[in-house]
Amino acid sequence: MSPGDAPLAGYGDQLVAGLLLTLEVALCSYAIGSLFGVLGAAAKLSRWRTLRLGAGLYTTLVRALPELLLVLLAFYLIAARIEHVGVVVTPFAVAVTALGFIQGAYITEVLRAAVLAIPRGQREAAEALNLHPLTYLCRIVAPQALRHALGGLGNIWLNATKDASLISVLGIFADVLKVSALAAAATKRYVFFYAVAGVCFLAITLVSTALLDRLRRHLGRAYVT
Amino acid sequence: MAPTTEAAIEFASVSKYFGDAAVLSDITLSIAAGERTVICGPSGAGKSTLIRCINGLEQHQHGTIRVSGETVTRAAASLRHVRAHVGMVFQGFNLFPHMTVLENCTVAPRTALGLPRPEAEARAQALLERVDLPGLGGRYPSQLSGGQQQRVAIARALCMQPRILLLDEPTSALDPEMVQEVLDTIVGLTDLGMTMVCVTHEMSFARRLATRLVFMDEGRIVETGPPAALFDAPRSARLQRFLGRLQARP
Repeated sequence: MSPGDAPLAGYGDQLVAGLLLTLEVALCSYAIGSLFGVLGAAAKLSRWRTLRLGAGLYTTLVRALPELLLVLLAFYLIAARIEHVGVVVTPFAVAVTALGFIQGAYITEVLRAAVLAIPRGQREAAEALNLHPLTYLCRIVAPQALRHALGGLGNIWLNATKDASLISVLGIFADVLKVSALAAAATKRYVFFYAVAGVCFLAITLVSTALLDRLRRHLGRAYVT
Repeated sequence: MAPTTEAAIEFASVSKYFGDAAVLSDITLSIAAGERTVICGPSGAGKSTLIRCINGLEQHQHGTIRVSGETVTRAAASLRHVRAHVGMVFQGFNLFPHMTVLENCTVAPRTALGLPRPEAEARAQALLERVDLPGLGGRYPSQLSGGQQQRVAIARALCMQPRILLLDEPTSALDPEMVQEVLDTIVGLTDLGMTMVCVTHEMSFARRLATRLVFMDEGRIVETGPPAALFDAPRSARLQRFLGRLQARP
């Protein structure tokens, strides 16, 4: 049986590689996005006006512009400038940073709301008990905010898995969607290969939601209703 | 422990404003170590604001507040020193909902006092027994009744071994059938010899707990003295009216 006769027409390995690339991009961009999100939320909740304004500009601008536009801008404008200065940046780094920068704006808003949902009495109790501000942040604010934020963060993660396919426009990456498109064009079995891509994304989502649900139950263990 | 003459808490001409409205006007009050002071008065009299100024949860604008000799300012170092001696019990309990009862009681001793875990836990267990909640260390606040939660909050404050305990309407958020267990718990703490300042509307409890009653109205101290004297022979018309309204309650 020649590779061309198999259901995947010899594209199996490339599809697996594409799926792994998609996951890699999603995970890396989400990690970077979380960093931007934590910094953005801290800035938005800061007592300093300049930081609040800066963070406001960031979230407004990023959420207003199409993701695709931002990725292209990052690649053709910013990356080119940096290379001109002499810093070597890989296209992968540029792509995941651009995607992370975008997710960070959404994560900023989710985290800000989650922190604001913590009752004022928690801070007063921590102050009265002489907890160090850092202890208060890590032991009191963070766990409660994470629980409030989990729904929003989960949605942003699912979007991250799908936005990961945006990097295929940069031409040098073959994520799972790009491989499917190539296979579909080569074999003329469009419906089949696009369905394969769909199944891959569905699988990512199902595994993600199962993990998120476990996390949700873990974080909610203290709250019986 | 008999009350000594050393002042634990001193207010000297303290005023506080929200905008133009005076919440506290020219408060001068000295509370001796070991004294148990109950602050009463109508809503909006400034009772809660007064005790929240003691540990710097609210800032006053004029005058001086001293706690164990330390002047209360906005500076972090001053607040840290003051709060090291001052425990607080809130109307809304303010337990940390994501932590177990034991974690609620040990997080401050472990992180702020640097107590090793076994010692912090032993101290917490002993105090949980004292507030009549033995064996509940593994529960979460949401699994407890309001009265139990408030008793955990009392144990949590005591775990820092404060010399002064502030209680801000400790039973106002409780269902009626749970009020008594919390009041009994608080009265049961008197043998620790702590200086206690309690805002409450429970007048029979005030009689049991207080060595001194402070009656406030419109941001001022109207009358102060032993509870029996104030209850049985109020001098000011405002206190007479206030007590009269309480007795008229069903």
